[in-house]
Amino acid sequence: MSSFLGIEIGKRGVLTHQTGLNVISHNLANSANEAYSRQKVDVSTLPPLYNPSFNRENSTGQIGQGGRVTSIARVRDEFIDSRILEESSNLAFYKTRDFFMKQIEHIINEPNGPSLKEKFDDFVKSWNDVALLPDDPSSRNALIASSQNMLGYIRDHYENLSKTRVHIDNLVRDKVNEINSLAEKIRDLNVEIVKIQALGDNPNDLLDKRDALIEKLSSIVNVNVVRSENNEIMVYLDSKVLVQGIKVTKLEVADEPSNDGMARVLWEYGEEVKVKSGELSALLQIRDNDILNTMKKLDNFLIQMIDSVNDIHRSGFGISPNTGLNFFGVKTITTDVNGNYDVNKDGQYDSTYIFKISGTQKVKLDDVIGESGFINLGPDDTGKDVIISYKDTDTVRAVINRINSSGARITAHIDVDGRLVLKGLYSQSKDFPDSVIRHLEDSGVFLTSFTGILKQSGPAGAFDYRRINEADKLAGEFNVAYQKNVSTWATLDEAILTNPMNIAARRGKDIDGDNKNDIANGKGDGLNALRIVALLTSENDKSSLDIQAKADTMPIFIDKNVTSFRPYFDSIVAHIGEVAKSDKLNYDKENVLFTGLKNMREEVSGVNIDEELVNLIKFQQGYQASAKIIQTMDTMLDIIMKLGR
Amino acid sequence: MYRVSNNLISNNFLFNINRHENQMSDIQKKIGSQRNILLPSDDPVGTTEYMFQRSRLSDIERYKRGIDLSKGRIDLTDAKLRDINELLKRAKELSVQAANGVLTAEDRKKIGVEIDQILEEVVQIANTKYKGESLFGGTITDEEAFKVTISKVIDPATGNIIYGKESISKVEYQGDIYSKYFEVGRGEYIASNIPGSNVFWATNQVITSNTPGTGYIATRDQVIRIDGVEIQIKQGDNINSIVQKINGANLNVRAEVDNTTGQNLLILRTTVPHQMYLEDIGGGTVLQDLGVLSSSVARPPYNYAPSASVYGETIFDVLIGLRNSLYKNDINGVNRSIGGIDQSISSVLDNIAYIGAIQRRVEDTENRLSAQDMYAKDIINRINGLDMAEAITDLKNIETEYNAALQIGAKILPKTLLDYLR
Repeated sequence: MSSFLGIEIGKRGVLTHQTGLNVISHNLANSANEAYSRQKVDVSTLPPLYNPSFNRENSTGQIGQGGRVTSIARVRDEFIDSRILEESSNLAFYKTRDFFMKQIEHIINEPNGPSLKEKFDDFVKSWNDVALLPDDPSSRNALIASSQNMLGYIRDHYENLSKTRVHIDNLVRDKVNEINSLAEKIRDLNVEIVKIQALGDNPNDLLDKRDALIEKLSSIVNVNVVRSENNEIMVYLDSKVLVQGIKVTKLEVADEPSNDGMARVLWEYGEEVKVKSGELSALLQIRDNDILNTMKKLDNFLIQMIDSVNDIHRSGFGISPNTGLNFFGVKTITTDVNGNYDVNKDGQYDSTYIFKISGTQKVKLDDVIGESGFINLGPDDTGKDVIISYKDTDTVRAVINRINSSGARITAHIDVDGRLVLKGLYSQSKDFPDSVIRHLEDSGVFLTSFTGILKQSGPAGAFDYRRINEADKLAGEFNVAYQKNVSTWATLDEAILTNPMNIAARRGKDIDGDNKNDIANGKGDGLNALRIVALLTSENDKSSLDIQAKADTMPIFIDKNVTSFRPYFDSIVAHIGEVAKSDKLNYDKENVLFTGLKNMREEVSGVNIDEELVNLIKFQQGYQASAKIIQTMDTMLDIIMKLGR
Repeated sequence: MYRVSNNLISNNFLFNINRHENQMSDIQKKIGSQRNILLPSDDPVGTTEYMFQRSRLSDIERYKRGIDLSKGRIDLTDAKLRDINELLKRAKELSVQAANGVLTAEDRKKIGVEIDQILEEVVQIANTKYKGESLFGGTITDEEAFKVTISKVIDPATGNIIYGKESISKVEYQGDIYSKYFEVGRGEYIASNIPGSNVFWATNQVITSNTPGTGYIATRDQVIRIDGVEIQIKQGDNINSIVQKINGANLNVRAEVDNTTGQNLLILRTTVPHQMYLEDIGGGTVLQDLGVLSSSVARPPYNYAPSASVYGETIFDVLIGLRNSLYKNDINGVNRSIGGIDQSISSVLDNIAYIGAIQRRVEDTENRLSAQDMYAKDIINRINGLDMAEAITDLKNIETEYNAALQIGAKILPKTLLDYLR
């Protein structure tokens, strides 16, 4: 045993307690640091004397050698950490959704207005006034004003939604950059941490920093973290590696032309990134589902209104007494009157874009077809062909119902002249165009000789939008597809704007049998205007105004299972409301859950000032005691030293 | 027992304060706007119901407007019909008086002059305008309902001039048979006028074709229209099937075939006094082919074939006939006219009853709409009107909780061990 053992032990005590004090002061300095996990020292004894061996001293043992700090470790629960990662994704997801759904709600501005629905109701009232005062110019001018008002509101809504989409798209691009930058920072920390750990130290603060970065990353996009035994971490996104040790796989964005040039998120090797949760996922969903669908439904609402009002208007007469005029202006997607259209913009026509097709034959709903067959309506939004079969005993009504309840983006109804009318609906997939008829084919007679839609049965007579000059296959009248984004360009027809007396409030009759009305009723007649009011407000197109109903009419379908304008609009608003409400509730729920988890982490890793102060006193006293030992040993050694003189 | 850190305490405090502030902000917004629902997500079902009821109110306003703009026309029609009735009653008195064998030709001529004045007044009433529009012209509102021909009065039998002064000799209807409608409920429409062709007819009208209908077959599908009602003639229909179709339609017109001379002549007669409105439409020629309508005159109601025989007297015809008989001192003629005046009065009374029914229906509708209006407004208020008492109470409660939380936080947050160490 050495004489200096006491001093040595004292020295070790002083150093140990000093280290402890340093760690405590580090904890206190970081008590407000959200990302900090408190650190504590592990003190253990040094190997005592003497080990059982030959050169063992013959004295009582074992004698302790004092203590030393074996590790400075952070207090952290990995299980809570991984739960927090998961929930922080979900929290950010619902928070983002909640935020943007509120934006959409504010744009729509219901129920407290001023709102589009109110303008629609005023539009209806103006038509009624024209019916009551058909030759009064002021009622016509008022109708023009309220129409433009309503169209203005639709345009505003649409453009605001569109701007929000662009804004979100910019956020998406920013977020992708942020993901890449966070991934790189994590990788840099990995490099540092591995070096330090190789030397046997705990890089606590760096570990805290890395954990904070991963948490930030998980709020943007849902990631999985796997720790391997050599403390290397791997960050997975969508089951693929984002960061592994020193390697980073970056993300990039590509503009997608079929989605208005909006960003698509890809791995740098080209594959699409599938995100499930986190802010980025919410942004993409809102951009491409919630907002886009609302815009498409607005467009659809408008197209159906323009189309059906124009149909009635053309059959009526103005005071002027012009007939055959549209009320709303019509812009088609292509100047070719047969609907030929150049989709890929290479200078050559490649498709036929047609919105509406009418048959040539008059039919009644209860007519029996008499022969069986198959109708192919072409791909639905998933790309699968929709096939409808009919038996010889089926009625017209049955087949129409089958068409309308199928997945095909098309609606069917019988118009007042008893003819079958097919109209294209908006698509819910970027792979297909909106409001365009995709494919019509019939192995039997329903679409051909029975209703007069197609000239020929079978594949040879089939109509397909992906070929050119397909209008040749049609037997009856057709309307070329409207120009895209109707809500942005819809307006009144030039003829109406220049002469309000052209507004066709009165009906007339067809003298020469060309199916177009030739002679008007008296100027006091408002029946045509009343028919437009009935169209806009009724559940059903059958109007008791017709002194004799011409043919059994079915309601006009303006969307799947929707036959009336006002309820359609109400349901658009209700849907937005329900989704927003659900997002709000989920956000609240996640908030509570996440706060609970953070509290649990605070429990484990948070700094408690009182606790640290008590430890401070403890270590300080320990330090003082050890220092006293040194002093005492020193005094004792002094005595021995003096003996020798 | 759990370990607690300082951040935990302050985070929890902030979380709760935030929650209270959110609640207060929401209540304030509601009180400020007096609305229960600020965004659809607050109550999606309520929002839908609210939007529906608001549109309902707009509908009710629309119906009321129709009534407001049409009442005047209906009431004026009623008043004018009563005026005509009074005039016809006077004419009846005069004609009964004139039929008395005691009077001289001079006396009768004087009565004739009075009848002429009555005639002129009735014509004036027939051409009444309401706000610049012809009242009795159907939907043809920018022309006079009746065209008046004035000339010297000539005896058709002898060609002699009966009366030198130029007077009304012919009154023809220029209007159509359609009404002006207004909407008073979903799918419910009321006519606000009566066409002159219904009001001013005294007797039933009979149109007899003089073109043989034997062997007539429709060569293709065609459409005829009688009094505005379309009748579909199919290829292959003969005159009997056509007659069946006409009689099967819901009309005040009956068709029959006269085969006494073996020629199968088509006869159309009204069952209620009015002028028939006959049309071939859609390029069809059935009525022309059967000798009922002219192929050169397209516009009804005077588009009858020149070869057809048209019988029927208007109120004007009766009065003109009476006046001329009085001028000619033709007692038999006067007696015949009395019957015509009776029929005229009967027709006018029927129309007065008809307009009376319309007036009652309008009144009923007005009452119904008032009730519906109140009901819809009530629902709207209940859904989206803020219950102020409840809101203020909620606000007070939240404020109290908020204050309590703040006070407690203020006590707990600042304290640490340091306050007590020397």
